Amino acid sequence: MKLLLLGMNHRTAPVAFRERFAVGDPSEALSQLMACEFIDEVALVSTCNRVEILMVLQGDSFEETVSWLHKEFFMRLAGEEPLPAGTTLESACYEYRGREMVRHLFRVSASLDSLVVGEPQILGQVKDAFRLAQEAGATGQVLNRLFERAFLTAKRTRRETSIAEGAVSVARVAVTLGQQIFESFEDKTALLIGAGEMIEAAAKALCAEGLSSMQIANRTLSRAEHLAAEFNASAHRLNEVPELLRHSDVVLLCIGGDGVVLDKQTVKTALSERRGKPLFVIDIGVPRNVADDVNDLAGVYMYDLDDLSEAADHNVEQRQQATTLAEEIVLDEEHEFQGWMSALQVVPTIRELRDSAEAIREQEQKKAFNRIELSEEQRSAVEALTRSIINKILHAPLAHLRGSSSENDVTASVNAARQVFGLQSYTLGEDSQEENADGNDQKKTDENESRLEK
Amino acid sequence: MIESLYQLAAVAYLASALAGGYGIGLSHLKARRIGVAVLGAGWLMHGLGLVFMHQMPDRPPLSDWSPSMSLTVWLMVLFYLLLRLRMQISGMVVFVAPPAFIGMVFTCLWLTNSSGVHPDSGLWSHAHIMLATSGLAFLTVAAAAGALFVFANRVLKDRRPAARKIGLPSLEALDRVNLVSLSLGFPILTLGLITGVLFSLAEHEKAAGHLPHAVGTAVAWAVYVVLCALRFGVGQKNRQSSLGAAKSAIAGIMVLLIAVVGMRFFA
Repeated sequence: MKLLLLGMNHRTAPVAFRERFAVGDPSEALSQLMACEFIDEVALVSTCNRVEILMVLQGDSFEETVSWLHKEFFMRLAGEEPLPAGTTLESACYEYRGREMVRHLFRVSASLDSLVVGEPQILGQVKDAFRLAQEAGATGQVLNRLFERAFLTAKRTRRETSIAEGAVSVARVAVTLGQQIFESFEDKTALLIGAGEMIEAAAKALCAEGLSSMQIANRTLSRAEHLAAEFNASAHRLNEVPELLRHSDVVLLCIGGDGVVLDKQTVKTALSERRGKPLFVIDIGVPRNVADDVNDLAGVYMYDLDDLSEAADHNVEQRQQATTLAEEIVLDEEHEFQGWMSALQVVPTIRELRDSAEAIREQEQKKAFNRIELSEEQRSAVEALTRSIINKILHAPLAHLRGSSSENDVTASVNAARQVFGLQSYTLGEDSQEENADGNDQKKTDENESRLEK
Repeated sequence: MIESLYQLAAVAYLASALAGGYGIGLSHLKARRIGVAVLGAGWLMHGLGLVFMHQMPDRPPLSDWSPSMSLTVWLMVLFYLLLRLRMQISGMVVFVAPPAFIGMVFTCLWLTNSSGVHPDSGLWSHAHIMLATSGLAFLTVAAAAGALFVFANRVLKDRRPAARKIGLPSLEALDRVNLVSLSLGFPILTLGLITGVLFSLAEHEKAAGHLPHAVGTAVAWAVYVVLCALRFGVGQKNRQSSLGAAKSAIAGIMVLLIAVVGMRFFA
């Protein structure tokens, strides 16, 4: 039972490369992966920043599986078109095995591996990936447990550290500031001056907060109309701004070239008709689009790009500081999971060892009872005695097996136990088990005796 | 028993103020919520004390300083807690709990010093005290919201990075609290004054216009008339800004407190 992760993300592959491997239909992809003879359990995490396949393999078939994934799975996803120049699948993909894979999944779920550390979306995406894999019947005991611990790790990092606190984008900082002025955005109107990317990002953030209406003013009306259509807003020309300002609660400006678009007098005139309602002005234009003295007006709260960037940078720094603690949580959880995996690997050996010892005990006891005439009470006493001897003999090896923590430890201990107690023949194939099941007691007893002699 | 309950309530109000202060200073939402919960616990103990006092055969009259102060504080905290159920104003606890604590300290100090009129001195007496204390409670909440508004406005205007870290309620919520409190507090205070005049007429057969308490309260009421005129002013252009309203609410409560509490010392 071996763990393997193969994938690519924003650090190892450019978007032009990653988009070639975006998984359109996860169910179909999972079916294809499940058909691979080397894979026992599988889950597929596909987001805009990463494509990762998490697998539990049958045996030690790492190389074969990686080769199959490169040749069969990824190449089918990429299609027939050649990959972007200068990129190869091998260089874009990373591979994690065993506990490295566990740690990687825990870090991804806790948003420690994200483009923006602490962003909340990734956890939902990992949960979706797990749900899809479960629905497809692609997960089993190991992946179920692994994802369960990954979600717990993410929960712990959010609860015990400040990794997800504070807005880290200019648009989100602006919204957070607005929440200190307005109770909610639901009955508010925003005036967006400009139609660039920054305005679009801010519009998205404001819409997410439930902003009731939006007006977009731009030098080129067609661009304003294009953006307005996307956000169900109204489009206007720049000369309408003084009139629009009267009905706006939030004003966001990012328009290049013209310099100052809003001066103190324009805002003062609008304020006098606003019945004392506050006006939140966010100027993210460079050069600035609002005269600096506008902030002197009562009821106006004005912030420029420097203010917002300062807050965003501060929050990024805070999150970075929190990552140290979050990494410790990841290690802690990884250790927990590793303990569970170790236990899972030693269980069959422990069971076989017990069964083997019990078989010997029963056999020898039977032989002894045939030779000596004993009362029922004496038989019980002998039975208890033999059980006790067996338990005491097995106590130390079983405790050692259970106490193995690292993967190497477990393998070494299991192999040693199997050799010492001669368990190999029981797991070689079904034939030997069937023989035992058929009641070939004498043969078994002889084998056991010879094993014990060894 | 009553004294112990009042003392416990005072301690709870103080703890609430400290938790609220911590929550605001470090932008710690849980601390602010704990502050509100502790305030609620103090309010329950306080209420229990009021019930026990009401059941005493030799209870002090409501017109005494201690019970009237106690009732004012209790109503103020109740009003805040009710508003808190509707609005995100946990941070306001930092401006509600300290006056509640101070009020309870005075309540405990004056508890054994009965000097008011007899408890059964008539309907007007009770109506006057009940209405005046309720009005005072509402207007204190208005002032607390105003004080927090002034502070939050300053932080936001200064564009300090701290503006993103301090867990203050929104300016809009604080302004709404101010407006609601003034809308309820001023009419009730007015009714309290009218019943005070009627009580004085019934008791002394003349209005007690010469008493410092009556003069002070009348001045405070006049100040509130001006505040209300500005706040709900005729015509859009005359309407006072939220910041002006916040400052006025603070000024109003100062005058009212001097009139109601301060005059005790002049008298």
